[in-house]
Amino acid sequence: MDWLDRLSLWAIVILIISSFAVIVGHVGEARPDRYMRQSAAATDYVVANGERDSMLKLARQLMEGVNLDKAEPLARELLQKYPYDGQSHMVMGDVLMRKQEPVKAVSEYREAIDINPDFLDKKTPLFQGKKIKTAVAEALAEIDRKISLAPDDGSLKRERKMIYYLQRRIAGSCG
Amino acid sequence: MKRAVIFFLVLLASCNAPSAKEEKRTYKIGYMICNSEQETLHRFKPLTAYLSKKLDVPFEASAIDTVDFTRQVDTLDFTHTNSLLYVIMNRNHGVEILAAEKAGSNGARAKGLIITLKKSGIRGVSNLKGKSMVFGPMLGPTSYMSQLDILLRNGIDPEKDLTYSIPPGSYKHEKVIYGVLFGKYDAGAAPLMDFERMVSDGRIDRNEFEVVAEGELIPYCNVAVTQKVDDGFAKRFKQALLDIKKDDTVEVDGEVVKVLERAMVDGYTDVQDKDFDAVREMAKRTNMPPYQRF
Repeated sequence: MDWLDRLSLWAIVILIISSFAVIVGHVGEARPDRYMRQSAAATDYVVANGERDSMLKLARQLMEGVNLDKAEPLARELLQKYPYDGQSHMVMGDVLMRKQEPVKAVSEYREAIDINPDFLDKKTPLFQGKKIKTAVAEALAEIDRKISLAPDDGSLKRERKMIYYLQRRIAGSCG
Repeated sequence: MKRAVIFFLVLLASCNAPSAKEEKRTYKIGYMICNSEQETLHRFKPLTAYLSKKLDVPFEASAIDTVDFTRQVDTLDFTHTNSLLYVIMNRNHGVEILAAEKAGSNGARAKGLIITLKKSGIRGVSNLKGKSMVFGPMLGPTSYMSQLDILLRNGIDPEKDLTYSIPPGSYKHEKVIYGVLFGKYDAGAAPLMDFERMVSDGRIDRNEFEVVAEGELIPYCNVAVTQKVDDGFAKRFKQALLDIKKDDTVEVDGEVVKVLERAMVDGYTDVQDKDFDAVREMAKRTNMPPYQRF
């Protein structure tokens, strides 16, 4: 290795370190701007979806008041009206958790996260990662219990795959 | 290989970007109302002020009714509740445990009692059938759930086998004990801690009461963090709690007060989520939230 090779090597090392520093620095600087854009978009959305927000709020109030008889139909109506809104699936998942159906709840949480990954991003106000993690643990225990009773049931295998998928998403998330 | 390592480092850095860290804002601590709103704030305003000073971050104390806590938890950063509320919020709202409070003869643990008057002649749980019994608040682990568990395990269904009631308003634990003392009810569901406190204050005579049953030891009140708070900041908050000493003081409303003494606690200690499994099992047995089946 002559002096030119050593120089090239050092240049590469310096280049990598400075690139890394620039990326890390800009990631931090970019956040407030992103938040502003996000909140501006969210504000527009609130105006455009007043009915949806009222329904979401009411469904949550009914849930916390342990009035699942009314909360569940409202959550289903939300799903029907706003199927591409992650919040609809999140509320349905919450209802199902309170009905002691963690596997079905996790399926709804998965839909919510696929539609809007911010539910697993702690840097956003939508973060729900820790609640979902608890639900995933309960669902996994429930599936394992069912599999031990009916080892040949193919639907249970599919459900377990779905739960593991969500577990991987949580493991790879920021939060 | 090197590319993979660099990519991984960049990813890691983005998760720990400055915006994900501690923010300069006012953090809200929700304190569960134990006896009354006024008493709760009187007890915990000094602790809140102490934490603000210690961590150099503004904190705000909010006293919240037990039944309203889950409605408001998403607006809070830290919570101070009983063990059942923690279990509910852990499952339904992603709240995580930080520290347990120490008070009374069992330290960070508490238990519920079923008490009667000695002169009533009721000596055991089986004698309670057909009698009247007064309970504390429904979401009280050692003033309702624990005693319900004892009754159900002994084949007594309060709905069918007892005349039961819950006193209205504030200071429910004291009302339960006085209700038994003055003969309004045959039996009462009281937390050991409140019973001991009233004995040591000289408000009741221990010798007049019969403890007919004791529940299992479960975690006492605790401090937890909501899921949106930065993990690093939550760790600092926890350490600040664990470090509070008996003689630590803070100035509140022009008065210097001892933080722990005013909060009526002996200190804070480390606790794990699995320590609450006994509460979870009890909630399942008694069909209480968060495992209630309809």
